Amino acid sequence: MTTEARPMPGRTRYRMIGLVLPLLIALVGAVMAASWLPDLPDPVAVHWSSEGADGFGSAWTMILLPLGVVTGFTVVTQLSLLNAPGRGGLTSTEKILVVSRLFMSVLLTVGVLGSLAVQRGLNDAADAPNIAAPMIIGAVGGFLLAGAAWLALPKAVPTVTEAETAVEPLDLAPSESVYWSRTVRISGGVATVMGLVVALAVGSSILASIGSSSGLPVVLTSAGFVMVLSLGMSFWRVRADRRGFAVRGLLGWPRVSIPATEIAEVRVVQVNPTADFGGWGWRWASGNRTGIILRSGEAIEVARRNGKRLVVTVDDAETAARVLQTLASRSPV
Amino acid sequence: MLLRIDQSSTTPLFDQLAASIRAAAIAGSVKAGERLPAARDLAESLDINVHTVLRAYQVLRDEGLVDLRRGRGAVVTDRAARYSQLSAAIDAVVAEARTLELSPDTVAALLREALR
Repeated sequence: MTTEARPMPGRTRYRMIGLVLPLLIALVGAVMAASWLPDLPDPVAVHWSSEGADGFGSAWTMILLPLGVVTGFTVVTQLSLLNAPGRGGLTSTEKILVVSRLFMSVLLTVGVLGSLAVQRGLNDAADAPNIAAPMIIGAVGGFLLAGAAWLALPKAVPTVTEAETAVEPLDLAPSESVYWSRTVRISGGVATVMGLVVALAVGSSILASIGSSSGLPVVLTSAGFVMVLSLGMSFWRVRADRRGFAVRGLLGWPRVSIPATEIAEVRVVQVNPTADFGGWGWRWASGNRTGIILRSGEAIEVARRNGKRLVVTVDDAETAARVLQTLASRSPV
Repeated sequence: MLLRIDQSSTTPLFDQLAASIRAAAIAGSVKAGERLPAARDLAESLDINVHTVLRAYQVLRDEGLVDLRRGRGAVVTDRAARYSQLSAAIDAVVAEARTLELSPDTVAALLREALR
């Protein structure tokens, strides 16, 4: 990937805090829970409702759950950090991803240990008391540790590659009018993932509603809403003309437009969706940025006079930037 | 798709617009199956009459480059893709004209003569 072997600043610290610590917490928790095995009822309570324990299962599932989830989450999030060394560090979005490993590790480990601890010495898991306390302790502890890790990690590097070459204005005669537009759609891979998520959401909400048929209309309405929203967000028309810059979704909504008189600066930037915006779709990021992010790579960034920035991944962003630059300098301030 | 029209040019506006869209289709910045902007919207963008835009769309329809359908607007056909050889040839003509330092008007006159 990167040819020069420049080590990422604070790499040892990152490895200790971001990789070793979350896995170590889950591992120690699993070892501790396993040592309680002789004292635990079989099966143990694994799920609670407001009336007490209502789901039961094998103790081993509970013991290994935090370790498995934390390992899986760490591996998956690590994949989106592959570009960090070349960039010289983690962006703030990536730092959130890293410290959330710690949050998850503490929450799950404390939660599982707590719910097993109250069952030690019981003959029947149905007698297990409420476990709200360990869950709250786990959440608060995880949050505090994640906060500490945030401070301990090296400072976040700026998002979205800065300092691209300035765009040249078009050689446009005063009598000329110009119109630029482009359609953007999500890539096949992202569409597949999105389809799976929607299918999963719809499927699980239907399953969940089987118990109470009264919830079905609500579930179907919300599932329909999610589908329409994902469809509307998967195709956009981007336009630049004398009126300014406009982006609108397939269904005409959502839409954003920036009048030419409000445009302060236009740049072409390279976007890495997970690092810069934490994912795809309509996104918010640090530095007063809103993004319509449908793929990685070339994007146009339009800065308003009030400092807000809109980033849209679109092909031929350079032409769009040139058009806007020309029109912005033409419109009276 | 970048469209430019010059209000001060002697070439009719609908001709300029049609030429601009044709060039975009050949260059591939607007693809087969893609819908051209609504005539009203494009007219507003370019500060021209909506009938000028409709006339340009009709020129392109007569050429087979777009499909005009009620309710669907103007949709680019796959004919543009078949223009690619022509556009490669035009690129060659342009390159040759540049090395000979011929003016655009001279090249256009030569092409008109050859097409007669």
